[in-house]
Amino acid sequence: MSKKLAIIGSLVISGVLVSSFVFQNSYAFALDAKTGVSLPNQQDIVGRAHLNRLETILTQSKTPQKDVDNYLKGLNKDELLLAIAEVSDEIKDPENISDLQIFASATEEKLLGNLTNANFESIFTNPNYSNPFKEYAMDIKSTENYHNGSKNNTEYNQLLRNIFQDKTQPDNLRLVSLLQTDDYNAADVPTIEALISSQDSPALLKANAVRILKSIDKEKGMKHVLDILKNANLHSEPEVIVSLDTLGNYTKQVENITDSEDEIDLVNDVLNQTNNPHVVKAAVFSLAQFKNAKSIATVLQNRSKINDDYAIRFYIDRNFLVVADMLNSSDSSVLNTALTSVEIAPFKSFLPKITELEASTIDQALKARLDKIINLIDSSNIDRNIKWDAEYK
Amino acid sequence: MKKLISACLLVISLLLVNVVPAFASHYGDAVYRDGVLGGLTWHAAINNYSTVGSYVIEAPGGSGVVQYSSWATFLSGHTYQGPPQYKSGMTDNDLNNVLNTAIFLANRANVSYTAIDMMHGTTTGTYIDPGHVTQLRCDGLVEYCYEWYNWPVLTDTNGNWDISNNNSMLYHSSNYYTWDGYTFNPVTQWSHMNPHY
Repeated sequence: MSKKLAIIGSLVISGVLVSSFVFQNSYAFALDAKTGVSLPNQQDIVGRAHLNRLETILTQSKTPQKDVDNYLKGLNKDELLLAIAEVSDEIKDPENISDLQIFASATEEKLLGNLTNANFESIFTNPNYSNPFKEYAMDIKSTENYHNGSKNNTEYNQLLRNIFQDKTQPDNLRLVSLLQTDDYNAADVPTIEALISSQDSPALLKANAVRILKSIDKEKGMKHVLDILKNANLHSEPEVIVSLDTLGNYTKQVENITDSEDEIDLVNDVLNQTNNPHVVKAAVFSLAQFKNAKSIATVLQNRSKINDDYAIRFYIDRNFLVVADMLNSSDSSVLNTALTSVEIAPFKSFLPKITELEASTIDQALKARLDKIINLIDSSNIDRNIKWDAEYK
Repeated sequence: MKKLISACLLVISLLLVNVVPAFASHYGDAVYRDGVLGGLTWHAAINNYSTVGSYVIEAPGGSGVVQYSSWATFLSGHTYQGPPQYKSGMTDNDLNNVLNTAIFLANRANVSYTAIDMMHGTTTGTYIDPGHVTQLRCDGLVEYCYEWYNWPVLTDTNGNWDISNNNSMLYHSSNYYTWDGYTFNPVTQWSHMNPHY
């Protein structure tokens, strides 16, 4: 397929349609009663009628995307679901379902809000349906919830539990169902702990089970997090990375940020013991969540191990308010850490404070260092991303 | 003997084609490939070029979360639509910010896929930081990482460009249009960026 055709394919319906489109339209489904759909049968799926039509449009149309959109929007909900099942069957790599995004617009119009729990159960349990089709069905439900600000009902959550607990299910469906179950409670603890301890659970499933366990029972969840991080070399990359992420979140959650010394030391140990570049980055990002001077000092002490000043600059961007506060410190060690941070991340927003320090200090060595930093800030022409302040709320 | 050496070289070169992208590229660039229906739908990712074994960060669906992937996994047997793309005027600093935002999302290992909207996230404030992104489409990953750092990629008919802004996020779905009349999808995104090389 030529790039020209691809560009033409991305041209869409006229401005008349655009101007007539109102925000509420895409949420009209919220008012529909769930009537259910007729699910595609295997004979129709392998018949490829819709897929053949789509391929014909693609090869013959001068505006393929517009014509495909029109074709899909002309289908009723049963036909649309069949077309999705046909394309899903064509996806050779079940690890990538990005092709299904062509159905996004038609799905919003026709399917969101219209599949019943019985429909979902039939889709999830039918061995003839492809994994991409089943995952897309989960996507329909989660998008419906997102648009409505609603949650799964008890019956749907049970369907998801049935999938992630079933070792015969594909890894991707087990993971998505684990992530989309939204009513975890104390009764789930034994099941989640079994996933964590099972030798044959996929690594990503185990890693996310730890995070979920922490959300149900902090004490039990953190026991696993600490065990994984203290024995990082015995665990998979996802388990270590998710535990690093969970550790920082935990500390922030309990608003105990000044007493996070042990946790920071633990991350420092992981950092020192690993040569995995993904784990190194994850450790830096874990430290970014602590929002205190010790965390910043720990990152700078590991500068050579991290070996990526852009990653440290990204860390300092997230910790701008902490560094700015440290610049007020009368403790020379804290001030030195803050100035080193500014040297790595010479944001314009640091300039007023650095200029103030330069004007007020009588220490000639410090004044010379501050003069260099002022020049660095002027020549670097970069600034912090103020959006990171959302992390402090 | 010469035949054997030639055969070995051929095998090695074929392996390399599968493992590494055959182009000069840069951290943080967006890369694209076509899909099952050729040019109708593409797949997008963020370049993590120099980290061995993880050339891109992508939201592929299937495996369920934003993740590091090899070049071969990204291609999945489809055709690369080079050259890499970025926004004109971006510096190394800007592109590394894009990449590190993508790494942040990959490290969370729980940002699942949605094919229907570009992105879902939660916030009580104006901005959805990377720690509160819950679901991404492949082009949503690119859109978010660029726009979190204030490099607009796609803008809708009302001027909403920032997918990390809670008020603009859902205007990046498939039922809305860019200011110049395109739907939000990877091909549109590609055509609104600039070749890096």
